Amino acid sequence: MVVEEILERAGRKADKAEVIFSEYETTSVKFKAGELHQAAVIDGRGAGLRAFAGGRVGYASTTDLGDANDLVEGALAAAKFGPKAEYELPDGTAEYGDVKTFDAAAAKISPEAMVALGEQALEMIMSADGRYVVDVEVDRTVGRTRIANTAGLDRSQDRTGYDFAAIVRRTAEDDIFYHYDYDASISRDFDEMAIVRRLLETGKWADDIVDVPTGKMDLIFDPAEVPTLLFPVITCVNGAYVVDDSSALAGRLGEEVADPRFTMIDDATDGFGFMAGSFDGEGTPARRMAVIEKGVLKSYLTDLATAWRLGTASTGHARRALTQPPSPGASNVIVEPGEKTSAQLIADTKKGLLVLHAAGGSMGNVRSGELSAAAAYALKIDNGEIVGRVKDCIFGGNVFEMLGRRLRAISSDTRRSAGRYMAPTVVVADQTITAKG
Amino acid sequence: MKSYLQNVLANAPCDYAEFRYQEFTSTLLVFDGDGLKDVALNSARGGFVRALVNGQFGVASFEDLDRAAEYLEKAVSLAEVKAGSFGGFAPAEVNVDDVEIDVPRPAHRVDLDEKVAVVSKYNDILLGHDRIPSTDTRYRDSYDYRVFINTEGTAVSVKTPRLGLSLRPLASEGGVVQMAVNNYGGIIGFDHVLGREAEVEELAVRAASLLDAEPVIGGTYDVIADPVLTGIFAHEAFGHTAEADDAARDEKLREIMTLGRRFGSEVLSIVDDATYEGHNGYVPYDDEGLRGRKKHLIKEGVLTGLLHDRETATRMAVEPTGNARALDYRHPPLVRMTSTYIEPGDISFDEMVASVPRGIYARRAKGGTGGETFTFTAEDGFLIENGKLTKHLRDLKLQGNLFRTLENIVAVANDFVMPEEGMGGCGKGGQSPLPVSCGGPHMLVKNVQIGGR
Repeated sequence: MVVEEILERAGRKADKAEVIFSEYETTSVKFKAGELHQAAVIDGRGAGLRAFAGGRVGYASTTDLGDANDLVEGALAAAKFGPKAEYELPDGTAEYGDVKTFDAAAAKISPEAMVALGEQALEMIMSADGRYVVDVEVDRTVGRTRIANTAGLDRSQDRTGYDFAAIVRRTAEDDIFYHYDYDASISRDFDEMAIVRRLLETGKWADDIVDVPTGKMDLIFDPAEVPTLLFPVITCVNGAYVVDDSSALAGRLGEEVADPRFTMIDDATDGFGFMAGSFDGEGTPARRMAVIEKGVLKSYLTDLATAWRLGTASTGHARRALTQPPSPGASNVIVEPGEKTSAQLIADTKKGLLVLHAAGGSMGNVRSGELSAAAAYALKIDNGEIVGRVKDCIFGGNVFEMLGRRLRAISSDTRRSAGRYMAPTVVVADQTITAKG
Repeated sequence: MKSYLQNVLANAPCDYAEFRYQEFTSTLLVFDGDGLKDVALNSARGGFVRALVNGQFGVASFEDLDRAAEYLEKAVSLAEVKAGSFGGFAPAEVNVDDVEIDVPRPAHRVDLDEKVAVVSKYNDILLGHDRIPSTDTRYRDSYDYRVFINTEGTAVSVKTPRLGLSLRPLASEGGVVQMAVNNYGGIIGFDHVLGREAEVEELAVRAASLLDAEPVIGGTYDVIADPVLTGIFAHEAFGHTAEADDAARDEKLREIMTLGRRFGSEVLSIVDDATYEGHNGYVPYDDEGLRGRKKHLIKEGVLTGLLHDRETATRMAVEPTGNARALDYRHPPLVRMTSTYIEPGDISFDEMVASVPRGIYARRAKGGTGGETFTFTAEDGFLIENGKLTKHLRDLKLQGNLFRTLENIVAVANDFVMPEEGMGGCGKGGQSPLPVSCGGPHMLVKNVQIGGR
């Protein structure tokens, strides 16, 4: 009802218009230090309007649904000064795939069930190692997004989300060890206690603190930290930074930018990740798309505006937050596997650092492909064996070099992380590590 | 709104309950190398209710204000899912007040065409430089009206006008991209950003000069941090550790953070000050309705206080500090900082540089993450050789262990600055960017790790 009203009013005054309406309900339970701390529900909703007038576009958003007139006037006022926008909006006649974004079972998980899961996780962690101080968080979201425009598009998508996180801390004199593991998905398609077991397993090395010297060694990215390595890559293929030439990959389509063993695919049609959807934030159909295939740069990620500025068609990568106009971004990201298992790759490592958590990776000159991060939790490998935890060390370099001539191996096993990446273990050779002393 | 929510709370079936109501409007401008990219006008309003029943909190956030009573019931029923152990807040001050922070010509009253014209001009100055093909320039102003009431009788409201401008030229040559940043803003009027043309020219030159700077060689150095980096250290590394939400529930952590324990030398004093006006960390009342205040966290090297909300203060049997802050009505309050800074010392910056035989002077920050092991990225720096600044350096990533670094702060200069905030903010528990400020004087830290190629 509200969508029709906004679109009708905007259509009278603007050349064309697009409305996005979303509503969601998130239920979450949080345990802090081994106790249930809070159960919460968030009921959110809002509408955003892009108004195109005089060849320019403006954006306004509101959560006040009685306010259609203010919203229309706001977007038109913004359009007076907004950027040029002479592109067409999708008319909804394209073919849309059938992508699963809603899971009825996930939508029904009760707060009581979430509390019970949290308690089970606490029990498991505390009985394995009583020194841990444990936080657990379980969330589920049910929502719906609708996009409609004056070109005729009107599409809705129901959506569920479910995530589970376990965070542990162990404090000794002068050492605070912090570790976590989590997963997220559209449905409850993972075993929460398997996450807890993995957390306990990977945490068991924390007691043995060992030194590494400053110098070169192999850097092994656990699948959950491959996104840290991918962050500059995904930034550099973002059409928004290609169009104004600020990306290191601008003008390099068809060139080899990584090792031929490296293939990165963006796929909103693959239901493994919570970014799945049959259309993007502007109603463009979603697709499976090789971004880098066998080391060769195949495509940038674009939305309507960046594609128009680049003189191409949108790849269906418009991402939305209610308070901003769309901008390009990745959906579910897949890195194709290699030949040997992660265990074999670790066993083959003479001198290396297995990175389980990195921090601060987004602070360097990302658009030139620079990665510079602290190894927040990393394990030292000597002659194929894990020998202990390394504290206080930094690594950095150019990711196209790391995934290019210094790529040692990619594992055959992959794992989902952050709910939207499917990645193998990645080993980079001869990485400079700066350590204390 | 106060009396409407007070009526809803009047018969709340719980041990304690509170409502927050918020109205928020903002204007966002984004520019890149081709000029203005986005103009967005946003408005949001909604409520948040928190109820304590049988030692357990239930909370609900909502946008339909007519249904406030229903959401109170929802919060109560969520709290009833399982009984908890929290015995209720210790008594605290009851406040009844309405604060309207007044600034000359607040940005939300300025016409959009004037805002676009001013920021466009600055973005054009940056792009006028031949080694700067692109920018990432962002402007946002906002007006934030918050109401807080609880079952103890507190009823306060605060109106806050904010302004943020981040100018980021991206200098580029031969595949190298370097970025410099000037930030403007705080709780301040629009005219504050006018007349900055000369500074913007200087910023463009500074960004381009980074292309000629040498990448730093990684290693351990004595480092002079400028006021921006000093502030980031105070906030990211120490400040987050001083937030008592973990310590209140963790005996081992509490042992480390014991008041009276020495963490640094006598030159080191760290303050969190919610009364520091003009900057984003100015918080007259927090999101539990308590007065914001100034408190020493470290005084002359000794830990003298932690940051609390009412729950952590109750658990640790100390006075609350007014540090409960929520990003907006969709989130519960967490223990957060306000304006966090290191107090100035006696020596001058020149004397400080002269005292360093070999080291690095690191300037400004592009970002930082905190905790026991912290990492900051500086915009640039200079090598210090025999007490003099020599080579211009870039790509500086500073890292350290909080406790060792606090011990290694050996000198603090007399040149205190509270840098302007721009568009940034603090992130914690999924709530980002929370408006905060941080600053201090130049400080000299021994044995800092710097990452390099």
